[in-house]
Amino acid sequence: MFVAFARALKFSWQDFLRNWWLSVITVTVVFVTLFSVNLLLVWSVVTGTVLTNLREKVDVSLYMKPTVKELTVAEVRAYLLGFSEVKDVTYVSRDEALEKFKKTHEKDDVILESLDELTTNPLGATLIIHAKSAEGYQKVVEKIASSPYNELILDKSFGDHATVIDRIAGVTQATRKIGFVTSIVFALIALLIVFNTIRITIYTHRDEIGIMKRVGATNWFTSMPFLIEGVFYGTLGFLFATGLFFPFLQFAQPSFSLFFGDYAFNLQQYFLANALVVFGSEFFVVVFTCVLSSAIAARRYLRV
Amino acid sequence: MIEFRNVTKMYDSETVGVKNVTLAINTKEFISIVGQSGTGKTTLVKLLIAEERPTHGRIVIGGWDITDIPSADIPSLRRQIGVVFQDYKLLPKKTVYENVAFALEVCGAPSNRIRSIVPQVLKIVGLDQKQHRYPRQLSGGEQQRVSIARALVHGPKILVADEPTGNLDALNARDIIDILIRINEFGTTVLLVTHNRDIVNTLKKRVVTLDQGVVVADKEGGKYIL
Repeated sequence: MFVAFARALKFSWQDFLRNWWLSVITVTVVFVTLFSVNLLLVWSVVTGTVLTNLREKVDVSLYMKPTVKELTVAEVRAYLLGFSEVKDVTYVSRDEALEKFKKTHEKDDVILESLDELTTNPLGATLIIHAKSAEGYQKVVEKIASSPYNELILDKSFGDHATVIDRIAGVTQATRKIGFVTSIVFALIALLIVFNTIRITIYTHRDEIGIMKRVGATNWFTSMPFLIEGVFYGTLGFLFATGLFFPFLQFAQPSFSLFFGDYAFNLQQYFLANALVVFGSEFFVVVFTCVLSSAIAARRYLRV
Repeated sequence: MIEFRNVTKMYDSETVGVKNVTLAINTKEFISIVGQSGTGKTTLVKLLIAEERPTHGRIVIGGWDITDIPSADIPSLRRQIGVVFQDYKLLPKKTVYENVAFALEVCGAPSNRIRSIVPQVLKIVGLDQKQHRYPRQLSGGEQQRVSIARALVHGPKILVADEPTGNLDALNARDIIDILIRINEFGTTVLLVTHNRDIVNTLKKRVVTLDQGVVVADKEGGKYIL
């Protein structure tokens, strides 16, 4: 068995080298396919991360009436934290709100002078709500409006952000759907391309398969070199695609950072951190496809 | 001994390969199967190496009834019969040495045995100086000699040569037939399938004549009669 396997390995390596032009084409197809899949992954990761960051920047502020006591504001905060849609609620005291207001308008002398005229702090405390999803804000605002605490609220910032929040929620959902469908379709196309390329490669060997069978080779002995060659094609295509992917990310990083500004992140670090999942599954799928394609294609010509 | 017992092969309801062929070929015999193109000569070869199954009748080789041979046993059968094809059927990406060695490698022969036997067989067919060449670098006659070497290398008891001279000029054809005669003299049963009248007539061996799939003559020291 070991001798037979060693011979199959020798035959496959000889065939791989002696049909070098066919090998180059097959490996190139696997490489281009995998590299394209990686580009789609980059697109998916970038849009996903940027949208997540954007969503985290969105919040809704509840401006309490100045007469509302600190203890009551704490009660409202606890009430809000009880909502399943709410991730976090930040409390800004009346003093902090005043400080923030002054800082915002530090160049506006009229406003600052007006504030000095007042003997008491005219601002109420603020509660800044972060929801778990962009879709959650509308529900939170509706719940507050129908709650007994609504009378304590002077104003809400939701009205200003509603359009942006809706748009982000829409874009996120659409991107997710499009990304998912595109990935599935593209992965299927990629697998079909690899499958057919390997089938064409085996087709060119159909006479040889017949000859091997006629001189007494078993199906296993005849097809094993082609299966091993499938492993060669898959592995080499994968190594080239992965090896060139990181220099590509390094090349693309400055443009990416420039375009997305604060929302940009280190692409290479991201893919290194997820290397095992991303490239491990890619390697498994592509090698499995190559071997399966070889087995199916060779099987057809074994009937001699 | 090879026995065809009332063997019929129909490819479909109207296409006859061979019909009611009954034939016994003795051990160490040299037999020529002759007939015009399409008379069923190659069908007989295919039946012998289980590339085709008979529609009726039985085929027995050395006491082994191969009529309904299981697929898993076909490689064992083929390793016991050397076959030489008209179109050589050499592996184009393997050298002369590798093509011949391949027949031993599929049998699981040890590497040292392969290294010792293959050069000897190549010497017998006169190709020991060209063992590192690829088939495309050889003439037709040389390619056919490689094919014979491959068929011989695992020491089969039966050698089937299906139109081995079909693609060769007269000189090369004569060389190939001489090699087959020598192989037969060493004790191998040789079944020569041909439609070359001159070769059959000079051999003066047993001749079985097929016409439209039917055996029409079977004569010791016979001649090409069609």
